Amino acid sequence: MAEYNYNLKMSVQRGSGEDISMVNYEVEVDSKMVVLDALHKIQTDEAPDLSIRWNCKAGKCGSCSAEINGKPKLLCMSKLSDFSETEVMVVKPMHTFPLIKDLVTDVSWNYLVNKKIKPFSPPDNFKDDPKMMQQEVDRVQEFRKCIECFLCQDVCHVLRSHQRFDVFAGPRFMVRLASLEMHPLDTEDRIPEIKNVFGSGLCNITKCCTEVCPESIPITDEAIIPLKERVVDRYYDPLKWIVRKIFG
Amino acid sequence: MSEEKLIHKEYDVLVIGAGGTGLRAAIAAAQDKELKIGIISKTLLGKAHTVMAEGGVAGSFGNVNPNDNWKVHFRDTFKGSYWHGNWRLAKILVDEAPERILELERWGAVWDRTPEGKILQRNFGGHAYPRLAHIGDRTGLELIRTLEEHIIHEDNIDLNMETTITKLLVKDNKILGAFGFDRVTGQLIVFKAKTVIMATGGLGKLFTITSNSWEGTGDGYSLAFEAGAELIDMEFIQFHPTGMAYPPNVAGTLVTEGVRGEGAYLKNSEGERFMFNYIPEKFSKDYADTEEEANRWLEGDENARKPPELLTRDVVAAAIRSEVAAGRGSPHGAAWLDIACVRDADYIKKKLPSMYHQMKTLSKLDITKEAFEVAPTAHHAMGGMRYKWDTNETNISGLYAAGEAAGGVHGGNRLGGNALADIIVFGKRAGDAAAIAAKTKSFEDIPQNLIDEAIEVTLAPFKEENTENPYLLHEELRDMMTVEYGFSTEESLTKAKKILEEMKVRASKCGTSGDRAYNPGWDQALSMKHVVQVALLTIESSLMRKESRGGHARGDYLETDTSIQDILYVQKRGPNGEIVVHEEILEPVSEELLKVLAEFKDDGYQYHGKK
Amino acid sequence: MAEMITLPTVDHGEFKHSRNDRWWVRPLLQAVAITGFIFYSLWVIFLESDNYKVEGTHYISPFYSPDLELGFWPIEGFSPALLLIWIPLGFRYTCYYARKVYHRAFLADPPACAVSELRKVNHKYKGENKLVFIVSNLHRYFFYLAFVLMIVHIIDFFLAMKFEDGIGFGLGTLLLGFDALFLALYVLSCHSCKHVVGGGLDCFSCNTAVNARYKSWKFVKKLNENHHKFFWLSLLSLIVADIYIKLLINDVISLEFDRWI
Repeated sequence: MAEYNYNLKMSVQRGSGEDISMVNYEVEVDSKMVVLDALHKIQTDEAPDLSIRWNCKAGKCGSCSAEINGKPKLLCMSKLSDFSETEVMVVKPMHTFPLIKDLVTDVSWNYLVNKKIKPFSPPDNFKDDPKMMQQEVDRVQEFRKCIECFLCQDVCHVLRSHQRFDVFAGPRFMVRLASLEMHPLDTEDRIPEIKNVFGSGLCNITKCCTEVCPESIPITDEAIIPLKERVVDRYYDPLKWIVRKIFG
Repeated sequence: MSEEKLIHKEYDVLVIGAGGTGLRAAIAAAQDKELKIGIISKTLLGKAHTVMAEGGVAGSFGNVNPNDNWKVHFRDTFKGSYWHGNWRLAKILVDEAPERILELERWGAVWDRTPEGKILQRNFGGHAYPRLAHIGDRTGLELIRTLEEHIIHEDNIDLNMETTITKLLVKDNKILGAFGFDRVTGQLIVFKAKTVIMATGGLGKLFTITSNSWEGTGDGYSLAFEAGAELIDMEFIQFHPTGMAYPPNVAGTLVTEGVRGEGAYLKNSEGERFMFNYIPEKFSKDYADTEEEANRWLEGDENARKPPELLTRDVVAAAIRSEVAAGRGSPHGAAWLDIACVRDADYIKKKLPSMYHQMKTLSKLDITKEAFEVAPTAHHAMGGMRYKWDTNETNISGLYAAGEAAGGVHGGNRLGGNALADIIVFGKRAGDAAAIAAKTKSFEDIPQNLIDEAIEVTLAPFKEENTENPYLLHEELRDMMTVEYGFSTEESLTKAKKILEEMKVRASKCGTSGDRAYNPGWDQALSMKHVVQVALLTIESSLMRKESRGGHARGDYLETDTSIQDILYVQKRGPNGEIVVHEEILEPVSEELLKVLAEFKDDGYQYHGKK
Repeated sequence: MAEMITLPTVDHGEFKHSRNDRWWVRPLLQAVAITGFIFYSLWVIFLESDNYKVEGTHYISPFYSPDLELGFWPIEGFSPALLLIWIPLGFRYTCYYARKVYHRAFLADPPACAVSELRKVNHKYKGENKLVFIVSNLHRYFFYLAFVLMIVHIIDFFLAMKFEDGIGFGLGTLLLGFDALFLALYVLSCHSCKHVVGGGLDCFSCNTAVNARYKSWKFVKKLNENHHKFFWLSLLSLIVADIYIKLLINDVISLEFDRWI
């Protein structure tokens, strides 16, 4: 698309607590800009106190997560040329997390969940001979691409619609758990927690996390489903189940 | 003022900054379980600018080329610093980096591997051998994630996320704590601390075209300067040669040196691979002068010399500028970088995934198929707070510094990969030293007048008479710095200084609207003071150094002047807030290390210009 | 073990969303397609239980494969299809991709990304931890059975090259070949298959046997990326083969037309 200027109509959620409203702005933009640029223009010209959380503006830090026209996205990686020039663009904060103000939400729950995950535990002899092959770390490295934007947490209906924060860790931490469980040198066993605390069974594979991931991590196919399969190994083998039922 | 409700927090060690340096320092200090450590983060945990580091972290394992060892790394680092770095620090850096890298692996970092299963190392500008441990092109992210995952399990570390520091509380040249506010609630906080570590990062946001993220407003330099700390080498700012040149709103975003490390080369608008024309004499022994030899090197021929695209960053950046100035630039005033003609698509996607993704999303370009435009972008400040080489303590008792906020390791120019090494090596050292010192100290009462001053400073942007728009002022300053510093002469620097003096007054009048809770205008208004102050420090020392050396390029003194190689310009706050500069001479390199340097006598250029 | 943390509730329900695209189109189409398939299958199984073999050939409707011809079955009018139909049915019901489709299209849980459910939040959601969805955990075992069924369908394809007058090849052979091919791709690209061949391992370099499993895992992983396509293609090829065989049985298409070789 060619570069040219036009006026973009934006409807941005403002306020906090009970006092929330959609405020309309008209911003002169060019089609090469990203949504975050347009919001910065609003900050500069009209509303210096418009709250946005942002940092690197290169899709690497995962700070500027929000919902554009109802879809969870990074503001800095959403090009205006991908949106209609005539329709009003609706920008809202992430829906799932408690609102702080305007487009900023309180994502601290995620850090608390992360803390509950048992850390990487290398074998005792790791210091002397830290050897791993590329073919086995490939999978782990893919998970570690995660920039913790928490868009997957935002879109996951178990958290978003069912609010099961108490029993489900969310896709982000399924990815983290997968990266630890599949680490070739990790010695810790996290399968019981994956089933009973982090709630792998609550995911019903509707795959929205994978759809929104800005790093294109195949969250469902490579992290959650393999973890579910590992849980199946341990807990849902019908033969083992019968044996357990009979012999206690 | 005293009617303000303040929150009081006490930490044995307060770490300001939650990038790689800050987190590593906090972990080090937290090993003493009797101490309570506080981390101040301007953003959320794990979002700091460190995530933007891409190419790798330097450590001389010799996994790829067994000839590598600390001596070569030391030579490369010291030579790369234009013999202006602090050799003691450089020595510590190269000694400790490998162990710090292995330690990260034990904490869960997953580096790329060699076929034997060891840590894979990559070529980078200025490094004689493949030396950079990496994870594709997102090494910084891996580093910060590993530290983050480690830190959440340290129970004696307290995280203050989204907190801004507005003043360091110093009395009689002794640190007592810091003052700031919680951005989420807007509540003012007094941090009482026995020791404070400045891990506040860099200053890229002085310029329009920069690879740095939002935080890079140089707060740390300015806070420390205000508190009376000494700053050195502020004239040396590294421009990374390859930032994205297009489209304008993302111009400056980093294109990792790893792209060139993987074999990509630079072309001008005539399709000429121009770097062969820009090999400085001091490097002529190390770099290939024909395309044929460069290609042999890429194929793994050990006898071939490296392609000139892997010269140090200052040289490559200058070459691109010079090509553009000669009218051989790309449509957007840049050079072409081509990886597609050297590597196949699968390899590129595997080794440079975030570059592929970034160019695809932001420029709608497929780097596996076509060349793309790159131009120099403000990247790293070599200078910063001066600290004692053995303890990382600044001239203020109890105030420590490490990482980009500190100066000395990298001298006139930093090698790629040495910054990540710097932050984990000196982060740990600062944390260790601050923890030991904190054990011997006790908390001291903070005088009320210091707190009142801090409140006054912090709340100034809400005063009705303060109506200057901080966002516009910032834009203006960045544009000005880009022009006047970019091509700096006595005249332009003097002009910049004059403008900055005016801006300093305007910065103090920056205001915002709305209330205190999560008000970015408030933060922006406060950081404008820092930005202007740091710009002044940079300009002032640039005026002093009448030569070109590494990251310091003077249009009116194009040559490197060996006679001022060892001169250090130390800046400090005068009684009225003015900058006072004095000259010091760098400590001469020890006999032992001179012998090490002598082992590389085929260099052509030696320390102090001796042949 | 660690305990989780709760967060305050945000209001939901009534398909609340801010999307401006036609998010309901895909789930609607999928619901229509699957409903159509279910009705077609019911018709084939219960009302067409005598019409599944083509005289003079070894063509057999894939619904009725393999041709067991049990002489001893006592119940009059029992469709032979019911003997084994529970295998593909169970396999598809517990399939990871199918779970996405029916949770979105039929149960609207969620109907689409970032669109809320019809119901208000009640904190009772259990996902696949409780009946009936807990059955999905048996996918692995349905996979083993489906693997056998896959071999049967491949055999059927080879049998379909046998005619009364010897070896040949007809359009029917080809269509049964497609059925076998897409079923095989669907079964082999299954997530459980991926786990069994190598996904369950952490170390891919520990010994040579493991290396073979690593390679098969890489292969299945590639196939698995297209699992959803194979899901639909295998359904489609199944129906097409069945319809074609019905057309042959009812002489709408003649055997002369069918035979190529």
